[in-house]
Amino acid sequence: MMISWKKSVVCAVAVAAMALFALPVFAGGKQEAPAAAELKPWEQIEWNKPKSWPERLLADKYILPEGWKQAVEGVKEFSFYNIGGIETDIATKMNMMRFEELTGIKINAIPLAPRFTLPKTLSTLVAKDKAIHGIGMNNPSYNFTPIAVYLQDVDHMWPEEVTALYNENLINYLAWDGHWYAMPVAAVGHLNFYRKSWFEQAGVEVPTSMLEFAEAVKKVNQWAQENLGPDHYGIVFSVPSTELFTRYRELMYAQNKQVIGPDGRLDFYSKEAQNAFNWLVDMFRQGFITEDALNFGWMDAANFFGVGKAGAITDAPAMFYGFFQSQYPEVGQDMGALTNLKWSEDDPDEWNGRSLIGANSIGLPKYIDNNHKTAVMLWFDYLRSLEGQRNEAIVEGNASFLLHLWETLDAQFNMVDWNLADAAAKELGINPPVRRTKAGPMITGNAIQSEKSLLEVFRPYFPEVQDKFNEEFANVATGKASTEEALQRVQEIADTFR
Amino acid sequence: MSQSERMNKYKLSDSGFGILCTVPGLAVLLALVAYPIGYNLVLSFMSYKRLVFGGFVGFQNYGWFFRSKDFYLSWRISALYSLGSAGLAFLVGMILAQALTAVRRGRAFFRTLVVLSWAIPPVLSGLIWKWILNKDMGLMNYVLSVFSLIDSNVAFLVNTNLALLSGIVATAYVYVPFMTVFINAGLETIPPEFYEVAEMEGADEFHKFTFITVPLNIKQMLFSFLVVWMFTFRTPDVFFALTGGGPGKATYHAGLFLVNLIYRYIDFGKAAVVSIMLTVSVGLVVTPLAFYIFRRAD
Repeated sequence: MMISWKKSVVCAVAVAAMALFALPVFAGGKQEAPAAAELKPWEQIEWNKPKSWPERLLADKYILPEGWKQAVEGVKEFSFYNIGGIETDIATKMNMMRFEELTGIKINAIPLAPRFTLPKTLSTLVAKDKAIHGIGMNNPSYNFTPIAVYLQDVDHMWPEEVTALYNENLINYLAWDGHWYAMPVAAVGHLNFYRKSWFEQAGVEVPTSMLEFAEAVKKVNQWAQENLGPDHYGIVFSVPSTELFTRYRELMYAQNKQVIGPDGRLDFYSKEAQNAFNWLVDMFRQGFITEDALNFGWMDAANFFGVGKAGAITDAPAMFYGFFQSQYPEVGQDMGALTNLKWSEDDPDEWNGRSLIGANSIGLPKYIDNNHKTAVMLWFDYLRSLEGQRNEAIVEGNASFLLHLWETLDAQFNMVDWNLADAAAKELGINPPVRRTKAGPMITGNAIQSEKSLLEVFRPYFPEVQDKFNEEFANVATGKASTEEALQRVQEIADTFR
Repeated sequence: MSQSERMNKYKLSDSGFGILCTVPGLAVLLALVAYPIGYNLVLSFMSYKRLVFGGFVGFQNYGWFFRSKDFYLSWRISALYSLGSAGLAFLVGMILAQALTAVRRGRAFFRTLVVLSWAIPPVLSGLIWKWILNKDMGLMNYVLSVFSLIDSNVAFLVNTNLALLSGIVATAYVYVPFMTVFINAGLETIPPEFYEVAEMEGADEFHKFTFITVPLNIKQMLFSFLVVWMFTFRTPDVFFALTGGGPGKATYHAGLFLVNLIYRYIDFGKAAVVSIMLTVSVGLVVTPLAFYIFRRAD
């Protein structure tokens, strides 16, 4: 009798286990019924009314398309991942407030550290988390392969006449496999900053080429160590994650050379590659940068410069200037800005300002409900409009892919809603932004780089090459390898993916 | 069949009732542990890169794992780090636990003080120590220079050996309270008469520690060491914040190897192999030791 009970229990356990194993299959198998020929909410919007799409986008104040209200019925709020801390994103906050004013839909921006962007995005999409309606992407081009399957394409939002309003290379960043999967929030221009007072006291002229820049760093470093102490340096930049390779790319562009060759090969053997690598690693080998920078993240390098430990910072986001101007005026007023410079004095001037531009973008998860999708599409439309991009460029100091903004830059200063900017700063608990009336070095730099930017598209294997590059760089910086050995090993990894 | 016979037919024995009671728990365990492990095992034989499913590949991922330089490097670093962290935490925990048993007044206060750093997550400890050990702005260099112990600032997080040691210190800082509480609990169970008799026999502190404290507390000591070793062998939290695995790959913990495969290279097939091998590595060490500890306890 007892044996039969034990058998029953074992059977019960087995059945329970099978049921549990089967549960995810059924849970995951639930499909939305196809909505026959019914139009999706965003298809019901008259995107070209009351004015044509380009006219709506380029209006001084963004104009919502007709039919938007019915299309977002029931949507009270939505959430999106904001790359970086929202407290430094005054333009995003302004845009959120303005969008809320226009539509009555509340937006939650969830801050996301750049290094966690892909892990969080990936986890959110794979888990089909319906609480997140917009996915932040800072390097969309090589992330699209894995995640495109989870994203709603927004092809209908990029008709020819709208695409023509933006930098023609934007498609490389935001599209994959023939479809558009994202919208630009802001373009991030990169500039070199230096402390004017240090350069003056060290008797150094503002450099006009990257080779001159290296010489200037050497002199400033010597002056700083003699006058301020051994824990002060000529320069700072961060090495881990994506930052070092960004700096390397800039130095390649300064030599009028792209990282990806015409045959699609990443070439680390070239003379230019060695020049760029050595420019960076020499800063360590010669003690012009703190050794700790090998472990510095983006903000660590910014803080190091901000607290007065380094005379220059390379490849820092341009908005950094605006942030310091408003939040730490004593630092901001002492900062000079330079675009990426041509390599040497002998090179043509048009090589100045050749730079990369990062595209902070937002994608739309496929699995959220259609009304929320439509609300996020409207948010996308607002963000890329002249009004949205004006806030990014003039108030915050970002670059932009919107060509009209730079063509009419002088007129845009009068159009900024500074009261809204002050209100946004108040909500963020930061000092109000500096009310700019003309383009200073930051905005001029962004304008140049927006025009001359090179948008090379790196393929999905790229993080593995980048990690190897960082590893080998640290080996050379700490004297464990030579430049030639290091680049050879990076090349070997890069070639395995061809 | 009489009514009492019918009742007896459905009567549950004590063991049967016991088994029945474990069913819900067992089912949850199957769903939350057995299912993911089973799924992971299946995945380890698949090509599943960048969310593209490439089908069955046999032992290809395992072959890659054993050929990978990162495997040998990260396992070696994990072993050194985990032994160092558990060892240091054990040593300090042991001293603190002994000291706590000697405290007569304000015992609650001192115990609270000891467990405070337990509240700090390892990743946060990594961030705290990152700034303490900063070469140019860190507290450690400042203190060392005030006492004239160094001529110039030390780059703790850049020197290969010091970076690993820094990780060990930052980790031990978090696990010392756990060790202290665990060992102290064991010490409290040793009857004071044992020490009194030993003293009468002329034993000094070292003899009392060697012949009474350690043998009677060996189970707690081993178990607490094992738990911390296990956590630190597989979890890279501290290095994630402190060095990110660098400089170069000087602190490339096995957990970071796994995290990179999942979140940077998005290669779930290979990541499954690494996670399985991590489990196997921990299991190979923990199982015989745990068996020994529990058998000794019995």
